[in-house]
Amino acid sequence: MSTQALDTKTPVSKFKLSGGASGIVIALIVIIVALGVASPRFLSVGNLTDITRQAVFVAIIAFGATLVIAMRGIDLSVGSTLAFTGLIAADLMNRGFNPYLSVGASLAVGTLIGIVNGVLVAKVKIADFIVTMAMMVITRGLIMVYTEGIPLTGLSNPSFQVFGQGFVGFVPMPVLVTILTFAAVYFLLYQTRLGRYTLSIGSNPEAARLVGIRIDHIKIAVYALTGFLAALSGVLLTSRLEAAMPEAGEGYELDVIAAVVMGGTSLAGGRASLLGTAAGAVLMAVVRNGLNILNVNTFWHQVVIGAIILLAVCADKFGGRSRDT
Amino acid sequence: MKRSFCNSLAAGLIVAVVVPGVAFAADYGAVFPGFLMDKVIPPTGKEAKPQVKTNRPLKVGFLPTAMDTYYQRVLAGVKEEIDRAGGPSTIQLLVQAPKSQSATDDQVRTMEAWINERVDAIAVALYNEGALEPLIRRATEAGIPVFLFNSPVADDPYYVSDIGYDQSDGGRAQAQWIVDNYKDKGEVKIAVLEGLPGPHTAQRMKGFNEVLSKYQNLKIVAKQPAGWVRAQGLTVTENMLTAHPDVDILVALYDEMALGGLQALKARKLNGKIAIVGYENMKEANDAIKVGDFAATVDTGAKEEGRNIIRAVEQFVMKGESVPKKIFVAPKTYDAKNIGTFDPADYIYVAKNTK
Repeated sequence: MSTQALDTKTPVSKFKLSGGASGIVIALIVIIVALGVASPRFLSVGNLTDITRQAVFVAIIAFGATLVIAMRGIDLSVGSTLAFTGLIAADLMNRGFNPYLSVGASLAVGTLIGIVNGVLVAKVKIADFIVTMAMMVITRGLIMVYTEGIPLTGLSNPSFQVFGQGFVGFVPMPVLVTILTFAAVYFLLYQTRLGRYTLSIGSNPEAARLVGIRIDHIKIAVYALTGFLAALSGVLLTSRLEAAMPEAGEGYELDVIAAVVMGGTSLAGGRASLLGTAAGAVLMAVVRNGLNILNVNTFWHQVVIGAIILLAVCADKFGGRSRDT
Repeated sequence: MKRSFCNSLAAGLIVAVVVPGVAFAADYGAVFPGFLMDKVIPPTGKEAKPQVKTNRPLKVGFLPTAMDTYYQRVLAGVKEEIDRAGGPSTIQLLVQAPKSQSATDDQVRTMEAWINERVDAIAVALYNEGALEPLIRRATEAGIPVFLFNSPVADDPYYVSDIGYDQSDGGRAQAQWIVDNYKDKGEVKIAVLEGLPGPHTAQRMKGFNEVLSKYQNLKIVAKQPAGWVRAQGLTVTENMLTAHPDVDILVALYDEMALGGLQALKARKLNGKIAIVGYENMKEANDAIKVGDFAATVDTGAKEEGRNIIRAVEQFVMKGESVPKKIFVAPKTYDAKNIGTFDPADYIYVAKNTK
């Protein structure tokens, strides 16, 4: 167990914390170069734009999940939350509410789901795996009850479409939102007490409690943040598809965990690499995109992603940082 | 409806040729309008026998592979036909949908429960035939007739009747539309969004390839699975367009994926320029044809499938008459030319007009 994370006063060196990203960043570069050689179209501006736009839905949630996992938690409810909140935004708009109000309500509900998760984990002390798994099936069930499996469509309001389909200059709006989210969570993680405490809890919960950290408050805040980000992703996806799909986000919980783990954040807690998480999410989109372009059966993508997870974790373990665990 | 003697004789002869043994159960065409005589196969002899059940309401289980737009439309047909047969006091419908397409274990549990409850008939859509075969057998042995719907492979010897359409006919219809509109247009490049690997995808592609392979100039340049869903239809189309920017036609084996593809085309301002050929004639696809975003889609008769389920139950369980082993209708292709002829009431449940 490293001792640095117990130090709650001085900000932890961000170099050390983002150092876990090196393995995944190298893997990402190698794969991009390889795909660039295999297909000249891969490196076109249009395709790179597509890839970033495809990566954002998982990436945004994974930023929050990075904090959850860094404090030894897990959140399986994010995919269902995404679909649930996307549905709320769509339903409110179809009932004639203003798009901004609808989006605001959707984000509020996402945050609320996160708070409920957090309270059940931190106050009621139910295992996070169980709480978030229950939340995952409850929200998915409610979606199916309400929609009966039929997507909500007719979201043609331009001021809503802009979230998922608009551009600012040449940057797609969802990508811009993701970059801003990254910056905000980065600041939160590395520059605020919330971030430091999160890492302390993950590193050694008992020690964190002894030095007076309100563990319950931190946990609730982190789950709330993740719920909020799942809703943000839900809004972007709903706007991108111009439809709220009942099955949206199915399997995202695993994609999100994969992105975080590939990026070098330890499941044992105490270490977080937000840059690594971003690279992990992009890498998954790159692999999918590359295999599509090369006309390889997309089911290979799961095999490739699984192999990369193992390689990234191995590289991490034998790369000289095994002292952390 | 009265049919002429000649017609019934002809129908009887056809049935006699195709289905020796049930020649006298001839005039199915009057019960199941538009059903395809040439798709009928002989019974195996292991099916449940026709019966006259007098208890009311008759309990009928309806078990799709999932609940979605398609099965809602089938259900609309089921409900309308129940209304015609006398309403819920005549046939009580039990609907159970598994939580996801791949949740075969949910279907198994539901079947077990219904067998234990001794329902009067079960209609089930198969996704995984192997897993359900023992249950279909158990139901049959318990005297509960099992009807299949929207089930592309049906090797099981126990089911009474397979209701819906030939999935390869759906693929054939898509390909035929392309042939009719593009066979003289030089080299035409086609990209295909497939569903999850399995019998639905395999059957549809089989029919599609059968028709298309006769034309050298119509080429499939890319073919990728997009999991039946819109989000994947979007990303896979984006990625395929990167590899093949010169695609002329985008084919999807389900409208959901085609609608995702449409979002990808819209982002590139290619909607209306690359022809989208969908499958299922979902409401949104229908609208997209009217504004020129979709070129065509194939209607597989979802609501008629629902009606035929109840008609078959009535024949077999209430009147004690036999039914054909396959009750298939022909898919119908819609494009800009004939989309106006489609009746939107075919999408929804229309409550019976009680005068």
